[in-house]
Amino acid sequence: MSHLLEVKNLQTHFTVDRNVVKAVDGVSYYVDEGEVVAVVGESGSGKSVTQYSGIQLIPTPPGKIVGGEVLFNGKNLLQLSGEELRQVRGGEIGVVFQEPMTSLNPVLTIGYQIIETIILHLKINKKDARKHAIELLKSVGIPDAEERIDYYPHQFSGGMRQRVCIAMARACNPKILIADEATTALDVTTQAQILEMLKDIVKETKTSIVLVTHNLGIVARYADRIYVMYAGEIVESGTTKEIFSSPKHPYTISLLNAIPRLDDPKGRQLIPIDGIPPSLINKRDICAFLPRCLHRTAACSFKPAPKLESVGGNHYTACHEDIKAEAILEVAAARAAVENSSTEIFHHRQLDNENLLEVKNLKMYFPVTKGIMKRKVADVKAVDDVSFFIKKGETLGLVGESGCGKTTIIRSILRMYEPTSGEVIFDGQNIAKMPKSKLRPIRKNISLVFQDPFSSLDPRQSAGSIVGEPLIIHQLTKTKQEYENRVNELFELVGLNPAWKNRVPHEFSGGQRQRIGIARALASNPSFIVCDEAISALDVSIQAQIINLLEDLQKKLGLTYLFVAHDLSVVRHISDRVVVMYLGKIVEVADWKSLYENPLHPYTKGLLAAVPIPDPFVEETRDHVMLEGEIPSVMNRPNGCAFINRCPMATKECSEVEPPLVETEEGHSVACIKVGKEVGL
Amino acid sequence: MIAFIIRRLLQTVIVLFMVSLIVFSILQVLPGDPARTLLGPEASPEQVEQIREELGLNRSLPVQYFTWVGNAIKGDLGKSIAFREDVTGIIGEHLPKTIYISILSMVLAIIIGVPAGIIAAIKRGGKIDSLISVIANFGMAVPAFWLAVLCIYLFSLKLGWFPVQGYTSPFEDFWLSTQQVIMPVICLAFAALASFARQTRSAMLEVIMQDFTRTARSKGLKEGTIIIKHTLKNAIIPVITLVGLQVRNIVGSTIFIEQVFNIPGMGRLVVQSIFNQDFVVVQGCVLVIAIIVALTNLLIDISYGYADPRIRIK
Ligand SMILES: Nc1ncnc2c1ncn2[C@@H]1O[C@H](COP(=O)(O)OP(=O)(O)OP(=O)(O)O)[C@@H](O)[C@H]1O
Ligand code: SF4
Ligand code: SF4
Ligand SMILES: [Mg+2]
Repeated sequence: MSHLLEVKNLQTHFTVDRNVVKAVDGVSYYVDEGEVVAVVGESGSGKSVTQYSGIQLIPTPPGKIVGGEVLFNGKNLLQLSGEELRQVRGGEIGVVFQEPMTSLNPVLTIGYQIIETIILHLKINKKDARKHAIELLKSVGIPDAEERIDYYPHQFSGGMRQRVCIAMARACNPKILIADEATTALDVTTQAQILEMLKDIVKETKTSIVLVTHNLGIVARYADRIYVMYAGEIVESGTTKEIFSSPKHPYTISLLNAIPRLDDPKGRQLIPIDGIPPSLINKRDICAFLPRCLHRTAACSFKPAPKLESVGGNHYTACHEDIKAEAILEVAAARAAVENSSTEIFHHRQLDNENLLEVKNLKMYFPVTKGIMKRKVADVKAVDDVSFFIKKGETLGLVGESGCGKTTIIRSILRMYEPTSGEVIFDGQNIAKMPKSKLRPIRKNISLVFQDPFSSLDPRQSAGSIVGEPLIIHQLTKTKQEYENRVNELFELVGLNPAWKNRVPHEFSGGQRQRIGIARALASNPSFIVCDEAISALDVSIQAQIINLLEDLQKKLGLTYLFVAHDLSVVRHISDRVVVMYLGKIVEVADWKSLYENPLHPYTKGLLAAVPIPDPFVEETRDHVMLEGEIPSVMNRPNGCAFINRCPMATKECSEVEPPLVETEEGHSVACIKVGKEVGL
Repeated sequence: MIAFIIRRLLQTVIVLFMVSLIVFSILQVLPGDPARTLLGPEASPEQVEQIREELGLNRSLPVQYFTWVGNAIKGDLGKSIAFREDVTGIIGEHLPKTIYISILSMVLAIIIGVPAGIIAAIKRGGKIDSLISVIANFGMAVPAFWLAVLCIYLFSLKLGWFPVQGYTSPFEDFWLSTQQVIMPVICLAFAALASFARQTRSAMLEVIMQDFTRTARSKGLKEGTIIIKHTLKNAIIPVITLVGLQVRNIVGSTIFIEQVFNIPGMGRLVVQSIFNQDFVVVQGCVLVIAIIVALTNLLIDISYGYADPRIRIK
């Protein structure tokens, strides 16, 4: 049988500083008409390079396709050039890239950018092309397409830009649409909207989609077949159900064990994959997963790299051992049990009843200025009358779409902004208006762990001095010796070797850098740590390591966390209670169980429905009610309930009053008129 | 965009106000009494006093300043001591020459520098790229007057291709005029040309690396289309900023170049007047040059807004 696209033994290498990076090392796969094929794997595993090799989008030099075939419609794309190649690009294979913010040309209107493709491939005149472009924009859900076609990219939100990119990629009815992490940068609700739209496109037009992602939930929800990549090779392939129900390769199994799910039992221990992905420089002919594999045998270390072999039907795996999913779970569980034998499962901690932090009616307004004189015309109510508390030893999760005010809350609590009004009571003292000099001794009890371990560290500073800096700022150590000891202690606490103190950040992996960030946060011995998207930038296999570390530290040191994240599964896993925000206000707050199992606010419901669960069987039975639209800008806050324009339950009444946050049962509060009525309040 | 332009206009007015203050104080801080300079060492104190009265030097500084500004706005920049003529008239005679060679230099720098940068970026790593880089580095390192001396020695004295110096209006004798201005214009343009080439090259390379260039390629566009329609439009934005800087550099360099090639422009007027201690003229010249530079920068900022929709449309 011949496939629409068939890649055979593709090899793409990069030459970096005279070293050869085997980014794609003998990859074979195929795509049939009307299929959704997923390529999963962590950062650097070669997913993108594999996809771009076929249409020769690899920068050469340093890249070079050194072997293999990419057969499309019977032609080997690798041998095409010039006109023929350009017809395939954009004409028969369309690509949607990861970064919607940078993938469109900022100085050309989106209309120009779409029309240019249409004219090129469909050879129609400008007027018809424009009509077609408007149709396309409508089909991807851009409102007022007739007018907006003349807008520039910066006039659209990230989600809208990604829609534009999709419109552009499918402008000439390509046979294959490659979506390379096309939704990774977007909010979960937008992500769900876009993926549903792609699914509809497949249904209507028989276009095939190659879904490149690291998100196993998305794969489970949307893919027909899966290729798992590791270190430039495909290590397992099969139908989605096969892969999830009986994963065969230790890497696939470990991945599934490492990620939190929305339907986990709470006590579940994440089992991180130890170590880091291998460097692809001077790769040897040996199983690449060997150093991290829980199931390796002596034989694995001298046999040549395993080849893909069928384990029944269309299910292939590349491993010397015959592994059952349960077997590896046992190995991992046994190991985890040893490591944690001394401690109880984290979530059965005894919580204090005392509040460590209490935020009362916090408001953070920013002035809007207009005209030449920068006259103040209005306020942006980034945080508007928000109250919540965190008990000692507790983890409070804070979730909401980007732009809802999460970071502003953190910054006002930490006094990086001066709050407009309200109280921030930390350990019994109101720090909201406290003069800076009095604030100082208190500040050392509060630390912050940032999102991006790459950009938040000074590239020239050694790891040791980064971690030790707070000790110096707050004058916490007296002698040099004491300082060094404390730094060593901190390194060990977060699982880093103190011998690495003199290295600079780029000599560490992403996960290690985040450990450095955490060690630094712990330096002043704080009681309260704010994690702002602390694990979002990390690979799935590393995320579990950091989540476990944070949980361990909490147990050991009795820390209190405010955990801000957009990944609802992670928040569920780590939090005791969860606050949901929408447009600068809290719409629901509850303990994790009530919130996730019995969400009341329509927004919370919509958010949760948008999160895909990495299990195709569960996904089959879920109905995918999507939240429509996007979060409006804080400047255009609707009257009454801010959620009104997206709420499936909205009625006229909702536009009349702003629903207050009311407690429906103990510890569970909701800001919705309808819900309030239902429970008789 | 309108608000942007108005804001920039206001800024320009403020800049000009400060320039006028500085220019005005040139006369105040300079040693010596203008009246005494005017009359020479033999004049009696009474004569000096009389001239001071005439020139308004006895009045308070703010009054002097506002009178001066008021007159300047009306086009009266005072009287030259050395030439015994209206400064405005003198400037009117010298300014067009400087403007003529400056504009020629600017145009030359742009029409050669920018394409050179584009070619270097497209052929990056190749021989042409290396050659352009070497020339550009040379151009930025060599001072204009040194180049001028070299040119005169080589092309005028040794080879005899061009006249050594002098200036003729292109309306009078176009051929002679062109022969005369070729060397000064090249010397003036060289450094600017070099930085245009370098800036364009690096801006192009940066844009080529951007995600949207890859997007354009993934749509099947021809390389040429990508360069012209996608890359260039973005790369030109930092180049426009550079134009502002180079206007200043070129105008600054005219002082030496006019001296070397004996062109009776503003540069030479300034130098001559300094030697003559004719500070009223210096004052007028500096003011006029400052106004021209400020206005070109205003123009450039506005065109910047037009090139970049992110500034134009909020
Ligand atoms: N232009 C380049 N120059 C040098 N090396 C490169 C280049 N592009 C990719 N590589 C290398 O190729 C390997 C595979 O990269 P690729 O982008 O395909 O990974 P990926 O699986 O798509 O990762 P991500 O999830 O981060 O997008 C990496 O080791 C990367 O460093
Ligand atoms: S071949 Fe051996 S080391 Fe590699 S994945 Fe299989 S069991 Fe693990
Ligand atoms: S108040 Fe009305 S619009 Fe707001 S969430 Fe409740 S039902 Fe929806
Ligand atoms: Mg990628």
